[in-house]
Amino acid sequence: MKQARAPKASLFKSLLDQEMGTQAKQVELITLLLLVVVILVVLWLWQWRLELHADTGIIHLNVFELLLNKN
Amino acid sequence: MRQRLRVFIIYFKLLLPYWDKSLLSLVCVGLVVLFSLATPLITKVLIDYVYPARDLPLLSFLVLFSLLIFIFNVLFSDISSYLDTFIHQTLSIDLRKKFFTHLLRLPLGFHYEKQVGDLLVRVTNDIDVIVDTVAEALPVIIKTIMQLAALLAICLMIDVNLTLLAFVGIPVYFIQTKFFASRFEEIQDRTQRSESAVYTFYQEKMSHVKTIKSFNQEIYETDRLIDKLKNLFKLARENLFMSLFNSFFDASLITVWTAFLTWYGGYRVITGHISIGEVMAILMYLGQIHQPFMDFGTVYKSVVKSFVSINRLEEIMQAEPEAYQDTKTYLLFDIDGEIIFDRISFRYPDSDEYILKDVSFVAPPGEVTAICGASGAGKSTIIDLILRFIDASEGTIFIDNYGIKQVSLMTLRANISIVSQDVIIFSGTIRENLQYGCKVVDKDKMVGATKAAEIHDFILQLPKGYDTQIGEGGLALSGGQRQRLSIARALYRDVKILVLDEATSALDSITEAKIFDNIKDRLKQKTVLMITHRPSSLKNANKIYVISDNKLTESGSFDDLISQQGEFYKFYQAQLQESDEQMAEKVELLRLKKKIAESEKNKPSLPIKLSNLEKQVLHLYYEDKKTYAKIGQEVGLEAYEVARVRKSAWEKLEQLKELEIS
Repeated sequence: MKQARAPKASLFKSLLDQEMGTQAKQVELITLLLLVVVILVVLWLWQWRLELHADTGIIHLNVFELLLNKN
Repeated sequence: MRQRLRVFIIYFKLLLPYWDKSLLSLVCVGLVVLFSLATPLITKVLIDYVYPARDLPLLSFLVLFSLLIFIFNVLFSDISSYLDTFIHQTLSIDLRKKFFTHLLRLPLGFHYEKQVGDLLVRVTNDIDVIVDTVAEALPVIIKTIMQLAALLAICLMIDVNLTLLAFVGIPVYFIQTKFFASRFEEIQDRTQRSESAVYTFYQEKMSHVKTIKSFNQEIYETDRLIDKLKNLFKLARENLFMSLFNSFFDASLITVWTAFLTWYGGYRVITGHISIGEVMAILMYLGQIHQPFMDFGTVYKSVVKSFVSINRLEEIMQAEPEAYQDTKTYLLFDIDGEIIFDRISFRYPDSDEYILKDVSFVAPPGEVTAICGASGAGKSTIIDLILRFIDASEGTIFIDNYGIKQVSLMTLRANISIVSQDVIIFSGTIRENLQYGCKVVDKDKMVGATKAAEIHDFILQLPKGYDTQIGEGGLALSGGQRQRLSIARALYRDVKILVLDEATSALDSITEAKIFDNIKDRLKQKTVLMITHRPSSLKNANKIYVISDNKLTESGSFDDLISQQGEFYKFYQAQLQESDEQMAEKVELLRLKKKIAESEKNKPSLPIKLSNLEKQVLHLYYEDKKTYAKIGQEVGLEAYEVARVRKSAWEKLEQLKELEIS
């Protein structure tokens, strides 16, 4: 015999049921964490030297220097 | 200009409570702007270095880097949208709350002057426009400025000549945006007025459906609505045409400019000033400029529209509210409830005619004081004065020796319960209606009040009892049931001063007597001010004051006034006669109705028919026991016209009776 499936708590519904002020606070917290992650990623990328073969020889640049390089 | 600056200061003040979320949203937007700068630069590196050098590891790295940027871009963009939506919704609730509270605190005179439809538009549309501007348009403007600054900086870094030429187009764009915005502002102003007129029309007609039906004016009113809607739609078309012209100019300007820059960029590559990758990057950036420009144009128009709305809201917000919480006033707690009218006169500020002239009386605690007089004598003005809906032009009203102008309005009204002829039932359950204005819920007290008002048994008969929905969309109550519920509500509130304004007009004499019998002990602890012209009610009063020609002419106990055989005696006799006549007519009407129903069955095409209006007037007069003046208000006629309709209906009934007999 087929058993009735228990209602599943949907993520969407639980997000909607949450009090908006509390939710906004949580979003603020997540945003701050994400900002920290972005800063860490930027610092890591800053350290990472890419090797480029130019006419004058091999040069080492990080990705930001590469993107903003005029030549 | 100063006016606009003032509006922007208002907007920033509105955003101030959400400064943390606004700031975070701006940081997110700033990051999104920075991330969006990366893609053209990556394209430049790919074209100028990676492809010619066949550098596969760097290609893979740049693709992964693009993906990372894309993910961050989406995340921060969504967070910014969420925070903006949060601000939008919270601000919308805050503004509506502030506006609605202010509206409710404005004096009655203000509400009499303003049309409800117009206020509805202000509380809905105008607030929407302002919230949209503050929570959406302002962030877009800031984002656009940030985006344009970043694009300008990076393009200048790549090639100064091409960038300067590209940015020369910006002032041209602004000039045309400003040109159209002033036209949009003017159209918006007319649209808001037209919308207000339509709302007012809807509100007025929906509240008087009965009158429209009784006059057979359904088609006429629909045609009037169509005329108003046509005007509104004409404005919408005007707005559309203006938008189309605006979009056409926008698109043309941007297309021509981009074509010219593509040519000039190619020229710079061919002449060896910049690389192919660089010109591609600049053209991609110019493509990115297009969106902020379009957004800026849209929000600029929205901001300009909001200037109209903010002025309309400010007009209301600047109106002086009643002094609810004046700290210099006395607080009325634990009072005896003695009301003294000391030489009170009242006239409206713009009129020379007095509604009340030199009226003095005392309503002592524990007694029922009645005010009686003909319609328009000024009886209801007395209630408005006690509740301070209006203030006396001359003289002072005292409650327990406190002049009511020196008493906190909130505590003054907290001590007065009113049962009026026009009972207002709010949508909700019977329980909610009974508890209206009471913070503490006492079930026994509620049942006591409903029993005293002779409505408890009726409530218990309902399937959901006290939890039955009434009002709009709920159970329809008769005039008598509404009035008994209103009496129960006043008794449940249990305050010292009870004002009964024709409170038993919809009740029969037996029910009225029962109610007075039930509450006589309670009334001994209250000051009861009764305004009535019903002989049966007047007998319950300890002292009666007669108002005639806006003055107090007689006073005394019921028996004294009758024995004096003065004004009151005449009034009483007239009411009694009318009451007897009404009773006799009612018996006759019921008999006639029965006969006519029988004859209509046998003779479906009777030569004489009653119009809807006549039937309605007869019903209101005999069944609902309403006065001519009251019926007149409902059906939109003067009292003497109602009397004429009732008379003609009665004559028709007599003719029908004769026909039937013959």
